[in-house]
Amino acid sequence: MSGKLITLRGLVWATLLESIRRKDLYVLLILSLALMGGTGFIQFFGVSGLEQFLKDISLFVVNVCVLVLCVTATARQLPREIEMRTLFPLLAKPMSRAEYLVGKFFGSLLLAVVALALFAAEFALIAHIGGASLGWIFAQALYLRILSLSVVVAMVLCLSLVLTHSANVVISLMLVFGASLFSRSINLVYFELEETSPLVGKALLWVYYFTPHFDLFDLSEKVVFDWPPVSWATLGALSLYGLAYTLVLLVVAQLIFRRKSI
Amino acid sequence: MKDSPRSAPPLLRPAQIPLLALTLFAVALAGYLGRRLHNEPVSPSLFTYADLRDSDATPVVALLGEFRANLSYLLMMKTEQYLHSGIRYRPLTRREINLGREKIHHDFELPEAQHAAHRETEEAAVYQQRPGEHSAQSHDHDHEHQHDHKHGHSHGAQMVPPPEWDRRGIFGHLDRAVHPYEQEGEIEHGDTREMLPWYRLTTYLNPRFPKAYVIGAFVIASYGGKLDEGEEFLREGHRMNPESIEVKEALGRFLLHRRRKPAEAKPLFTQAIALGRKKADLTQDEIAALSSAYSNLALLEWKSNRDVPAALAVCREGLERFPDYAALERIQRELLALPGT
Repeated sequence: MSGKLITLRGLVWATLLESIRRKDLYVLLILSLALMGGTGFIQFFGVSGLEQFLKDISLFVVNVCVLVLCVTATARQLPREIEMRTLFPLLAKPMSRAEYLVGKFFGSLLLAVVALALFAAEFALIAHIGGASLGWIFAQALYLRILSLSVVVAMVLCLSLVLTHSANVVISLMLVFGASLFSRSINLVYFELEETSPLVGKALLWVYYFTPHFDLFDLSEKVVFDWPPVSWATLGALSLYGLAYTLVLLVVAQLIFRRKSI
Repeated sequence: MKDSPRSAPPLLRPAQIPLLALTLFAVALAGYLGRRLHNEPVSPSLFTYADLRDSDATPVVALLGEFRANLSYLLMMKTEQYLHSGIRYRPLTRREINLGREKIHHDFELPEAQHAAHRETEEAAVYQQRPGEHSAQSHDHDHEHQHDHKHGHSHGAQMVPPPEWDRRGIFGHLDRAVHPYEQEGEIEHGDTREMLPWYRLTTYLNPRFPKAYVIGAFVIASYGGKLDEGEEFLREGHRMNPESIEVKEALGRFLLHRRRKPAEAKPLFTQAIALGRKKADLTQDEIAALSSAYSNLALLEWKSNRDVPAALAVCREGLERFPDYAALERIQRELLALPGT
């Protein structure tokens, strides 16, 4: 293995361990377990047949926990290294800034994927106990979620170079959780503006094209309601979209990071 | 030494984690025990807008009442989503309506669809009986009161737009592929039994929500196959909403068609009509319930009480209020065609 790869692997591993040591993951796991398990309490209200309800609430909790963990953990990577000055010995290895950024990206992504795997296992266990079935579409949902996490990590890393930590977290969470609302509303807003303000409508549509569409990676509703798996063409298109977006964001991040005085 | 590296404090200390878990468990346990110990329904005086404006409403009642009422409306929306296998709907905008975009219309074996489809068959079945009898077939069906859905039920538009409305290109196609979306006629509706918890929760949160009781009782009785529970659910709705035209009409209809208890059903229809007389501004649901109360009372007077003049009087009053109500017109026509009238 080349020296650069060994260095990169070390950085990825260190990023993962540092995040795990902070215990945020454990707290969220316990919290999510309490929330998901808490849905079982509803049977005491004398109702049964709650498989979809259980899946609905549990998947919602999984998605929220994973995304919050991913955003908050990634957002503190660069500012913390700069603030604590641990960045300098790393860059003196020698390690280029691009390699450092890639290492941080994969480290954060690995953390997010590990968290997703744990939450998904927790969800699958609770769904199994609750008698809910999880089809092939659940595997597709996990795959798309990993793709979306790669876009989220790249975006948060990129924003962490230009925004303060708090601003980065807030804006990233807004983009991640507001994506669905924005996606649906843009079509309607464009339709309403078509006659009165066509230019504004067009401009909004272009804004839409260039903003990340995290909602497209969310198959939760289809999992909850047992829809058939999506086509390979759709998965392929979304894979291309996710990877391209991640790559573009990482390139932009590198361009900013290269010129940034530390 | 300055700027010694310090890691940021963790969200929770390890010692606090069991405490958090214990607290959550205690809250859940308290809720469960509270429910077990206090089986009486929550006071209905908590949850209507008018209640919240009462001068003696405490801040706690005002805040929790409003919050719980809002939550119950969200739950009803969730129920709608469950009924349609996860598909979300939105109302049409004024411009969309002006451009002739139509509501999604279903013609399926759904509670609302079934009642509407059965309305005419039930009434036809009733006409063919001798006065004083109810056919067994007619008792198997109940019908809700959404007269605007003659052959199904309708919604606004789907939240995920169809291709002809969508300007987002490839993103629109992907949106339709990854989210629940109904192409024409392909929808498979969810298990209606799955909706029961939602109706139950909705009414726990807001006992002053007549529609939840009316639709919930129908689902419990028709799809859960539990007539007793359906009736109890409606009776609870009646206790909680004594001034609701919809609940009175629904309970009356339940007792008349499913329980064959015309004597118990009549006062409910009469009260619903009396409430309708007093109210100037009726909602669409109330209009539907009121018109149904007239037609059911007319049928009851005719078929159960054999009182044709009373049935005709109900028809006349009903048609004065709802001149275009075809079902009532037909009953009146049939009544007038009887020998001796």
